[in-house]
Amino acid sequence: MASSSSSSISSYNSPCAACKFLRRKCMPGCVFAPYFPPEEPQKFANVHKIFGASNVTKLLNEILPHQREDAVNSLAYEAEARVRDPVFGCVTAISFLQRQVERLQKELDAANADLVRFAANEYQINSIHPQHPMIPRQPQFMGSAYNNRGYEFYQMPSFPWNGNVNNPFGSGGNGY
Amino acid sequence: MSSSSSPCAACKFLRRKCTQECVFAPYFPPDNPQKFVNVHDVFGASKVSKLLGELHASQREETVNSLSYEAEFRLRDPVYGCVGLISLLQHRLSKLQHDLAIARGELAGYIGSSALFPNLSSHSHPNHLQQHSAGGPHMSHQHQLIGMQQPDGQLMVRDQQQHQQFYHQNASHHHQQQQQMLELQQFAGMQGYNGGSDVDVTKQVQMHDQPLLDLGNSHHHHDGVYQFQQQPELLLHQQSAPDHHQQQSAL
Repeated sequence: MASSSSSSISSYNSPCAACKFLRRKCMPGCVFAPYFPPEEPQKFANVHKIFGASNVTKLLNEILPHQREDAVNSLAYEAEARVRDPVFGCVTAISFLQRQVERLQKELDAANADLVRFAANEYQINSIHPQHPMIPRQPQFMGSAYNNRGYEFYQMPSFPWNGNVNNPFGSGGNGY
Repeated sequence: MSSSSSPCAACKFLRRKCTQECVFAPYFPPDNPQKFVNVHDVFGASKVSKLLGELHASQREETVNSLSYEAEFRLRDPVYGCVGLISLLQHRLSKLQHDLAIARGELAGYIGSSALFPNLSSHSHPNHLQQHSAGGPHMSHQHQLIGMQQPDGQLMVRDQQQHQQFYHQNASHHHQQQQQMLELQQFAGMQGYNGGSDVDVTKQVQMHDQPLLDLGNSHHHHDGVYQFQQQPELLLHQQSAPDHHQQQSAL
């Protein structure tokens, strides 16, 4: 009786997307069930295509339970990016973002340099024309100290792409 | 007999004979064994082999390099992999945009006052030039021509007066940041997982004081830097002070 009730319970619940894909019975302790709901079949399909079910299982077993949902979602993100772009995957986005960061950092450095120059000019004005009521302003903001050389946690491995990666936006905008 | 040449890193790892037709040999030289080990751990040899088989030979090297890159990040950070780096970069970009807006706001004040003393400024004849350039960004330090990245991704080069107006209009830059971050998130055109139907990416971006990348509904992982929600969509948020060092404690 207990087995029939348990089997009726398991058949009552819809199998998770992974077990549906793998065409197997979705048991109560299925490792995929919490993260691959049946209404998102494509999520598991992508992850399975890129990483494989056994690799995902292995990875999930190596991390803490409260981190597994995040891990699955990041795997799903990478897998989808790789399905869309089999050559570069989500590395395209990384390349693009790095360029944007470099560009903005240069602009910020230039703006800060301009601020210094203007502040110096104002000081000069005030020195030459002391009757002017202007008070040389010190620039209040010198921008962030960010540079593109240090990502505190992520030490960047060598990035072999030099402008060959397409703008992931795909539009004619000035992405770089 | 191919035993005269050294087996590739893949065949060495897999303990098999490295033949002339080995699909891995061109991309996994024997002097870099770790590259294949990483890729094998994350993706598996059969998946990589299948993926390479679906691509043209000219694309395979770049594919292997990007897979190797992703594998390395995934091994460093088993929870977030290189998605963590994307989140970090997004946050940095947002911070830079914010800082740049503030700096430009300050510059606007100087430009306004320097207009009163033209002889002492470094500009003489502002040229009006408007471009919709597909090339690299341009910023003139002489302030005759000042390039500004527009929210729609186009580069607008203005003369000084227009530039000053632009500074004043955009001194508080949060709205523009949001606009640009919305566009940044369209880089992958990520789909939702509701039967594969397309999801409007702009809906995925929400700007408030939360960590930058929301991918699930679990609790804070890295001291709030990565906070995942239940929905699989990518949600962008801003956070004022990420602490990435604390990621290591969670590993």
